[in-house]
Amino acid sequence: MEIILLKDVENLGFKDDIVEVKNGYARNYLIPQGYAVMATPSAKKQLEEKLRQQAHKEKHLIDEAKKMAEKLQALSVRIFAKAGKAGKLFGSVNNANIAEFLKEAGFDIDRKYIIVPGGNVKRLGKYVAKVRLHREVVVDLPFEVVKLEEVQKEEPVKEQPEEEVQSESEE
Amino acid sequence: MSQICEITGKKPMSGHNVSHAHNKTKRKFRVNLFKKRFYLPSEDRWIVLKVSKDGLRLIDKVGIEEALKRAKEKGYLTRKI
Repeated sequence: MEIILLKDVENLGFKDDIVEVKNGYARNYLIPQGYAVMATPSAKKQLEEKLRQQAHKEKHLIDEAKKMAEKLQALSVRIFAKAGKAGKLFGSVNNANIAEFLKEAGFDIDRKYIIVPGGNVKRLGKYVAKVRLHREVVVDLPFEVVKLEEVQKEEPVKEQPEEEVQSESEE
Repeated sequence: MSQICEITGKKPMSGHNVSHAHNKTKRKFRVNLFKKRFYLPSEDRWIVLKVSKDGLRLIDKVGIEEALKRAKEKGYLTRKI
């Protein structure tokens, strides 16, 4: 059944999203608890109208979110974690760790707006998380999980030289 | 107790059991009925309906309140809920 969310629901979506859920989940839980209403054609139209009216009010919010997005993407996120020999972590890294890191870097983003691939990370390496700053602004946030002891040894990442394309004749 | 769906008005049909030798004996085709609790968002309360599987599908498609309205129009839902 298609429903319109009235609140943020973890692992499902955010306010004003239209999502598809199992019938029983909506009928017995989401609707009675006030998390959602059925997405009937009229309800969908109302939602569209509401979003359109909000659009120009939210414009500066969106601009702010976009600015923040640019800043975020300039940031190199490194999470330090204890790890075993094979690169396997003791414990795991999840969205709470990233939220904490971002808070220290001056970004106050709730953990529920950060999505880590697979829910959490259990090995060292590079990953890409998704950060939702606004309904229309979702950015990829690359992050790296680094072993705690190896911090000093880390070298700066080399940039790959761009390949030059040769043209046979020049005008 | 009557076996009638309060949303679709379905009720048992009668027919025959037919053996290989074409002996016919009376039987009933019963409705897939069950009691189910539904939440009415407009009145903030729960009601109990006797619905068939088709009635439940209708409720999931059009919503409980629209389904109740249709049932009342067609006269399937007679008792007060």
